[in-house]
Amino acid sequence: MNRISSVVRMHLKDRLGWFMLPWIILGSSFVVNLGIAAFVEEPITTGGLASIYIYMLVGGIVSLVQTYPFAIGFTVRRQDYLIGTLATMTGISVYSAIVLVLLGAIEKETSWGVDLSFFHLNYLSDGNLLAQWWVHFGIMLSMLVGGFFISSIHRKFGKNGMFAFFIAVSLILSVAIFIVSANDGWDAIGRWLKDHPPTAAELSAGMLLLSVIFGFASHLLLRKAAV
Amino acid sequence: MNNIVEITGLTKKYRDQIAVHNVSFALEANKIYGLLGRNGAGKTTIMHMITAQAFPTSGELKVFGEAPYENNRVLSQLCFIKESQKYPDNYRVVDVLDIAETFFPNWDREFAYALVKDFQLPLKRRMKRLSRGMLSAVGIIVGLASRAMLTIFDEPYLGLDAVARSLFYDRLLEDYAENPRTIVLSTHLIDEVSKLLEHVLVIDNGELILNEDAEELRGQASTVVGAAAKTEAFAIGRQIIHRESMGGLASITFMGRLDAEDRKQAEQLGLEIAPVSLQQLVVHLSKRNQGNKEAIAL
Repeated sequence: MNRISSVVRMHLKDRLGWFMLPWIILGSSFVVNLGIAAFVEEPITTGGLASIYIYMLVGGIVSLVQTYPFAIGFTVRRQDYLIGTLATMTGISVYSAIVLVLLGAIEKETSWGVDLSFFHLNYLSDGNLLAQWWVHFGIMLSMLVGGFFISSIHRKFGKNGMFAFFIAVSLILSVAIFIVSANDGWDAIGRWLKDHPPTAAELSAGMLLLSVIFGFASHLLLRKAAV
Repeated sequence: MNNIVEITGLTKKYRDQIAVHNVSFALEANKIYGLLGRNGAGKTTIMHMITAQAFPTSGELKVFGEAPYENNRVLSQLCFIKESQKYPDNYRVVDVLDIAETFFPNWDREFAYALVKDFQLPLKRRMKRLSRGMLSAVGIIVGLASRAMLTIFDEPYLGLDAVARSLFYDRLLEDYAENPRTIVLSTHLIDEVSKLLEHVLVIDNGELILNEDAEELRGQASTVVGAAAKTEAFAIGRQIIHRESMGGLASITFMGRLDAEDRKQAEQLGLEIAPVSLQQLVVHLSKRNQGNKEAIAL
């Protein structure tokens, strides 16, 4: 019997959390925007799509809180837990991205009859269907694994460790911004971006790379995390 | 090799305290062990280390002959039921049983569902909404139905009434007879489980203070009951651990075996000899350990 697949099953038992809630939340955002678009003459573009991404970030955080003590308590190997969890998150990203691309395709044809851009957005939906899927997949997976990584910090080092981490991140960012400003670098960065505009698909590839780093970092954090 | 757990010099330090100090013992296959001691004595920490959920500061720990950490050959044969076991919020009782079935290779589904009936658990109810007793019952069912070669119950019956607890003991003994395995019961309800135990380990203040066959242990102390003066006379020179009196009657408990001579003397004095409960013995030994510690400190 494969314990990694047991871990996947353990996650997927939570149908409410993985298959219903994300769409209920995205759906309610969509319905509100649909209502607004129906009353407004001009075409409407909204960022309501972000709701599902934020849900996935939270989902990543919560999944560790809910399932790690359960699985390790029932003597699951940490490595199996991590691989099973990342596999589950990859699967959820694959299927959610497919649904989003399909909804985007419908929207492109119909605009839902009210000139609403909710799923099919400039820039994000620039490429062909596969490119669009790739963009959704990359963002979704990095949100899930990013949330999981944040939760791993909490599991290993507690609340204070998490604060320390975020303080360190903001310090590094501040220093970086200061260095760029002190050297009048913003113009140069702006020019570079103008000359080499990254496509959404390229950004997504970057996000996926980030997911891999988050995944590996979570492994290091959970390796010796007690229950 | 018949030892399924071998612990040598196991120590666990937290930042400001020593939870487990230089503990060594072995568990043999197919026995029921009692891991006894006061709350906070270090029992749970030891069990966490055996199941690789916490990590020793020093010392050696072998389970089924191997280090348990990240080792599926060991971990898949372990089942550790603890009072603080967490379950996902959205899980129902039936979900826990389904997943437990995939985690534990020896799982017996029929047995699990028979136990659900015995404990009258609502299968479709969410874990979040279970009462404390029902939550404990789920743990007990998982522990029994897992049939893991080493099954550890850590205070498994918080919130369970006496009827449910005796149901647990009955099912445990029945199933143990048919499917021998090693079972560790950690509890402070010592009297209740004492008849189940074949071997007793007592932990106090992070140290192992007793490691003894339960039968042997029962003979190590005795109680005599009778007229106060005669009882006192009989107890002279013995190591008294407990004394009770009521009117002209006294009951005195002391360490040490009674040989034929002693029994004859007791009979002549008209005293009755009564067995000593395991609980009394453990309480006394814990106290004595405390005393030794203080003496050393002085």
